Amino acid sequence: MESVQGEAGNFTARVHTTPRYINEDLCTACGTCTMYCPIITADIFNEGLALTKNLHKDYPQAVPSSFYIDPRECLFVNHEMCRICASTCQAQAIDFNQTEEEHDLSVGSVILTPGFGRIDEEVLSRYGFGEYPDVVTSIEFERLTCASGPTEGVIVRPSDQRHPKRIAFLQCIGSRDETCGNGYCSSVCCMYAIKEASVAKEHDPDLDITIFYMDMRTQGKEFDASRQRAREKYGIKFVRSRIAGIQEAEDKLRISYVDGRGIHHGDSFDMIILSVGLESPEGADDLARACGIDINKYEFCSTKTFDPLQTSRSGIFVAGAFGGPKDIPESVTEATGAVASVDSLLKDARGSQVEIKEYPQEVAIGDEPKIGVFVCHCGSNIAGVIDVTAVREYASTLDGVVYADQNLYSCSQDAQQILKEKIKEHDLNRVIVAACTPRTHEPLFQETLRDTGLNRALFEMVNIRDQCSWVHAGEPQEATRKAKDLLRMAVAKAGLSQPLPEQQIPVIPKALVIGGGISGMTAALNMAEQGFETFLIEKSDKLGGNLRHVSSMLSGEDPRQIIEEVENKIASNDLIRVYTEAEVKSVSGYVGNFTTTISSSSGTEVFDHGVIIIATGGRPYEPKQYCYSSSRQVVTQLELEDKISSGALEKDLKNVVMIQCVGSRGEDLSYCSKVCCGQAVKNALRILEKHPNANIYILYRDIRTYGFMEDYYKKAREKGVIFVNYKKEKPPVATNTDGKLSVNFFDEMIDEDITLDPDLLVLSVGIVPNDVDNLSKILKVPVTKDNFFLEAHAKLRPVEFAVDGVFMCGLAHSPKPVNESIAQAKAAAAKAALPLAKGVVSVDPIGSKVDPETCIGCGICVSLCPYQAIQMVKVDKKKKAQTISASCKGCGICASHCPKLAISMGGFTTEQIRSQIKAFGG
Amino acid sequence: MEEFVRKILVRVGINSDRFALEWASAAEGPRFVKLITDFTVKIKSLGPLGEPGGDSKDELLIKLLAARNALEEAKLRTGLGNLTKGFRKEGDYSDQTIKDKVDDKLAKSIETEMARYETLIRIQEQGPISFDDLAEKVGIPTAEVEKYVNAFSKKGLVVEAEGQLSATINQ
Amino acid sequence: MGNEFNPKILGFMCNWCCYAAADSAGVARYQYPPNVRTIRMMCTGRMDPLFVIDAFCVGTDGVFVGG
Repeated sequence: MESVQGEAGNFTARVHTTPRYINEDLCTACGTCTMYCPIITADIFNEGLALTKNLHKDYPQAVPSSFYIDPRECLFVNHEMCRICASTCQAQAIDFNQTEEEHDLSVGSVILTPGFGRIDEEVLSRYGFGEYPDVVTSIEFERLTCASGPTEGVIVRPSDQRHPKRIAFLQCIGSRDETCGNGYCSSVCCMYAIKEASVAKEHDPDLDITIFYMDMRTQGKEFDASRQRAREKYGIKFVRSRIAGIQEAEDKLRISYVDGRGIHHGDSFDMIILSVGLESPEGADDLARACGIDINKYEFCSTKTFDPLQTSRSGIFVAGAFGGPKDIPESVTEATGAVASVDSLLKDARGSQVEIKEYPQEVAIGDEPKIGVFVCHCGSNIAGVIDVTAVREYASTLDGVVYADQNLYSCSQDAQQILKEKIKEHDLNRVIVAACTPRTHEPLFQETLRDTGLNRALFEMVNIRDQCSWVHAGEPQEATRKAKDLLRMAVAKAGLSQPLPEQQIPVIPKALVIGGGISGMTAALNMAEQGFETFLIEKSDKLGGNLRHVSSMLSGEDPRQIIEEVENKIASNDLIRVYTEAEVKSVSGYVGNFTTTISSSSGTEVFDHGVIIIATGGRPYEPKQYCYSSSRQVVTQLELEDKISSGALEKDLKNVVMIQCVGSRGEDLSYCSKVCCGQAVKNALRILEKHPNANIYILYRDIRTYGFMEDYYKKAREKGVIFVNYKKEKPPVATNTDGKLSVNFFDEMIDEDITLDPDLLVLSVGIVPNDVDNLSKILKVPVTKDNFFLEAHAKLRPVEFAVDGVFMCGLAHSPKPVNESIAQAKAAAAKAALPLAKGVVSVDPIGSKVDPETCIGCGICVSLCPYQAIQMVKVDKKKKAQTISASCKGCGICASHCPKLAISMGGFTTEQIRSQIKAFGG
Repeated sequence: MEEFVRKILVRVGINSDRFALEWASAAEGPRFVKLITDFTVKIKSLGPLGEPGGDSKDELLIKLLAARNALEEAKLRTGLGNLTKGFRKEGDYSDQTIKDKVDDKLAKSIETEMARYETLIRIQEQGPISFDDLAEKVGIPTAEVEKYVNAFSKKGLVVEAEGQLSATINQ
Repeated sequence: MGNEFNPKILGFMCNWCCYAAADSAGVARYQYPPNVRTIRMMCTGRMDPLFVIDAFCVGTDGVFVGG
């Protein structure tokens, strides 16, 4: 990105591109060129642990699915010789005439997602990296443990290719380290170290693995459970100590460390993994200048707590690690949330550049199958191994086949034209292409069929390249036999294919948001700003939720002011209807067409809507521990906030003790509540502002001030806040003797029990999800064992359910600070807006269909469907199953478990599959 | 499904190693290659279906057809459906639980359903045949054969003449 | 005949998982024995026990289900 001119809604973004020397539009990703490229170079994607050709693709799933030429070592680019690749490419995709180009893109908005950068090698060299080959980074180790990595998942030492027996992970490499300029915590390294260690143990159960850490920051959803599994199931050891350096001792690596009691130890390992942190992305300052946005002192994008996706320039948003180090779920959430911001900004332009393709009327197909078979050479990719002519001749002998042909490239433009002509000429009503994989090319051929008036379900594809010629290159006869068998099976299946309707189900363009805390408010406001009518229902008598009880943020921003702002925007937006003292009574329907009944302060209401966003939130854990109920000197952090902001703190406050993880992490709540460490640091600093001489003790298990919060943790320590680590097995004890409060705890550092008589004992209590038992039943969506809603995919679909049309955000999903809740609320809104903006739900014809004649109404399918896509209906007073087409994903579990074989799957009917099996037999 | 299929294969007399259910993600090409290669090697070592020492091919086919008929009918399918429903509800998918549950809930109906259809198929394929011969071949008590035959007679599938059973119409 | 036994194997593959893995094995040009004939499904949830028995009925030597 070179520059962004203009203003929000109307930018011109100048983008500079470098050539890949391969035309992506022509490249078929066959890979012939890479086999002939004579230059062998380090495989950068695999961290240089393997070799690759200079003309290559980083990994099989790379997007775009096209190869590229690295100009640094290409013989032609540098010396005008070779060009072997160009002569091997039958698709003529190699183009050395490509040059660097400038493109001016006219866009309404910009989202910055450059990711994160690498920790400088100079920092790594302090730990022997570069000097000792068996000191590797966690990213290198990740490649080593990967099944598709350079060693296919076998863990070996780089120095001698032997299996290591003892491995150490060193945490905080390039993070929480002022000496390299990175004061922040990289947030993700503790969890990925645990993951890598666990994966390594799965590969080799005899491995001995130790993780050396400062604080184990596994604050994410279910992360603490993984840590526990690592310790209990895999026997991974955790040692709290920061390692200063590494020496080589014979063929081992030796480290010395100091434990919590100040005692020195030494230990040797075969391999050492440096858990490298997340640096700001390379060129962050250039990007910031090009976009005219502010970056912080660590060169990450500056954002505000209450607007976490907004850069300092209107219309330009940020998502992912550029806004601060973060894990995959938060990155995905932010990316989706940024889309919501763009959606509301550009709502008037939505759909304005869409061209709708028109297809001819579908023709009726006769009873008799007239199958056309087209066998593809794919240049020499198929024909070089398989006898294509023999396959074509064999095809014409099969029942139902009236025409068989072969093409050099079946996917080429002219081949599509031939396909259309032959369909007309021979009145074909089923078409089979034997070529590459349906996963990439089926849509292209189906499109061609539709252009001729044939339903796309009448198309069948046979994979004789990716799963035949390529993988049996040395056995041409066997490969040809396999191709014939696969074709025979496809012909049998195609004979039974029937046109499947292209269904579109209209959507009610309204949203229901359940829960009126900051998450629900944000989601509702965004939906309305996108132009959708929204019902926002809140259980209490006013909006605002937990945030109303918070009086200041770590960054100094005032949450009450924000709530007021959002509340005013909601009140003045005609599209939002707010119901307080409201509760969901019943919900029926499916994505696009829900009907909900609520009771509220204004009576019972029924409304129709297309989507649901759950933002039911959480509440503080109510402590029974630490004399909370017996002593007025014992308060929670929220109560302390209230005291601070209302000036109710004792004037001569001397000693304050804070206890972390009250109720959390294995007490009544099994999980980490994520916000309490930051909250304790914040309140400690606020107390010190008013009472600079107060002694503040924070008793903690791991301080989890991840990301930039670490700066405040450091500041608190500098200002004299005393942090004392306690173990779960030996928690502090509070006693209240005749109104005199005292706290006793063990300080490992000095190996002594300490007793204090604090003026205030502050409990950092965890977050409990609000009771959603009833709601989860009404909506038929799952919760975790901790009663948080369970997302469809922990990393990649963090705001969705397996069931379509229902979304979640905020504390209902997991404990999280307010900036993360806001990002997630926007993400939920972006996802929820999709069907509403489209106006219809397009039904994939591969869905299930129940034959009501055969169905006995047993209901097994209803309870097995993972997507709630089958319901029971009454037909002539008899219970029958019926597919909700809009929700069906075509997995087929209903069909395979139907006692009466009454369910058929579009394109994969029981008859079709059984005919394939029969044809397989010969 | 997996355990259920294995049970049926064992009942048919097919080594259940001939059936594999494995997982590989889209990114795990090498894993797929290993799985397929290993499985091919295993099948090679097992030899052709109906290998020497086991049942003859014809015998195997009779039992396979019995299994097919049984699986086309509602009884076993309902059993499997309800069992899967139970796993979904309990959320316990450990190998042991699945094994125990299949043994507990389905093993018996697999036995009886297979025997029932085998009886019918043998009458169709090998009739006229006596009750005792049938009982011996299917490997169940004669009384049980009588029970099944009664039901088949009522449906008009089987007729008895002088103690010999034959099928009305060969299906 | 004296030829080595060349088994017939029927594979049922999930479009999103094993079938995709098989495609990526192809892109990487890994080589494996040519005995498997594949039936693609949208999900292994579609896998009916009946299909396994059907396959053995028509003389397969092994059935591989890839999720």
